[in-house]
Amino acid sequence: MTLKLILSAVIVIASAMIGNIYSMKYAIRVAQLRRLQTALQMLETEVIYRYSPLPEAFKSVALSMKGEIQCIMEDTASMLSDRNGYTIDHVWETALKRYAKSMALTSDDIGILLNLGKTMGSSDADNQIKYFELILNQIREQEKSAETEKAKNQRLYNNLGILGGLGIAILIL
Amino acid sequence: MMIGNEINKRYGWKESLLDFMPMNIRAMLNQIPSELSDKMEEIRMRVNKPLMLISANRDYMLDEAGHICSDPKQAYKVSKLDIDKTLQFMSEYSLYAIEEELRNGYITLAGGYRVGVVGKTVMAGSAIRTIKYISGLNIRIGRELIGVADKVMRFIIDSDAKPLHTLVISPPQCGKTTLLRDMARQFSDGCGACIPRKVVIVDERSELAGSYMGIAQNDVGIRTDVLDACPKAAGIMMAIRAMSPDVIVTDEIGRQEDVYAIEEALNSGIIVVASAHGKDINDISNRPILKQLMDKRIFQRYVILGRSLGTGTIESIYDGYNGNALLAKPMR
Repeated sequence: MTLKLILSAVIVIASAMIGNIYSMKYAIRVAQLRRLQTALQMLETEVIYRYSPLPEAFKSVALSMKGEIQCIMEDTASMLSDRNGYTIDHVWETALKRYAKSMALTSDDIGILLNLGKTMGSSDADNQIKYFELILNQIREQEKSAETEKAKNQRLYNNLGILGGLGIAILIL
Repeated sequence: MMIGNEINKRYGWKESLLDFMPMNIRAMLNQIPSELSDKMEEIRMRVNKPLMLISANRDYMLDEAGHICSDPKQAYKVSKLDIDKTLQFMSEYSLYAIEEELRNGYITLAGGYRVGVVGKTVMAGSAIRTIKYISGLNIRIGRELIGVADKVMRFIIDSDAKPLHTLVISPPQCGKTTLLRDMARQFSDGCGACIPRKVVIVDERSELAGSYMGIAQNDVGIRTDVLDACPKAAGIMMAIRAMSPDVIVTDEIGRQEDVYAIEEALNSGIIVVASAHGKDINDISNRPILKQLMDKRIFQRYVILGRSLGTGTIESIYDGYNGNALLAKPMR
């Protein structure tokens, strides 16, 4: 009986943890979308106020970021400085897709970010402001919906984990 | 041409310029024979038109394999994407950073290469705001000929080896800028009897010093300061006020405000060395603004360039005060 109790307790804890991991994904997505906004705003500042060329701008943003976003920025900067004949669109897409898999972003989020590569650097500063604002607004919208989903699903998955664990435990007992 | 130590950028253009080209064009340009590439003057890209190379005053087309071909139908046609990519690479993916240069119709690259840009101009009032839908690029492989002014220097200094106010008159493509640049270098570094002097170059079109991010890419002398992309008249005034030059060098004068600024420099005891478009002295005296400079006897020497013995021929040199010709026959 003691063994059964211990086993049940382990199952409940494990199941709660699985639920927690699932629910965390929503919180991480919100956090990543926020950090992406910061990164893009910094990039915008570099472009519009300091007129830094993009390789330099990406490098300087990378310095104040961490995790995947830092990697994306760093890879973009280094690929742009390599002069391998790739367009900015291609470089941005390559860097983004390389790290997006390990991030909590949805395919919609990534689609918005990919659009940035099509316009970045391709016009005068006035138009760059517009492009950046457009993308930032879209990401803000994504963040809002991520918040809602987080509120809805975080508790759901947490509860599901615990309740699922309890259910299995009852069956065992 | 008898030139002691000649630096000719043409030999090194591939290393510097190919990086800015799309891969397919890089591969093609790598194929061209060296007699062509050594004398390369321009690479011209026009949307949907054959890629054209100008070498030793002739133009050449390339087919897709990079071989020279004479039939425009077989020649490689530059696509819009090729031009967009080239612009991306030239601007380091940052057109916004070269807005100001685009407004003037050209970009300067590291190494001092100049790229002319055409497309649809966007106006703001009566001024050009920017160029969009860029449809053509002219990549100019400029020359830097160290020592090209050697033969002229003794004519443009007086008996005390003091520089004289000099105007170089030349039709386009006859080596006016090249000559002026070397004069600036020689005044700055010193040459023969001539003691070194402080020189300011007011480089409105970034051609004299070929500055990239404000730093001169051509050898313009160790005592030379460059005001890059600065309007001539304003630049001359800035130089007088702040840089205490002995000599001011500037390219292609011709506006009324240039005349005032030059007079101002003269009154401050600064030597002015400048150039102007024109065939000969008569040509200049027919242009109202430049005529003022002649009538006021501002310039002590007129150096006339042409191509009777090839590009960069010095056709004649006149004394600006008495009109005497100082050269018996053209020299090169």
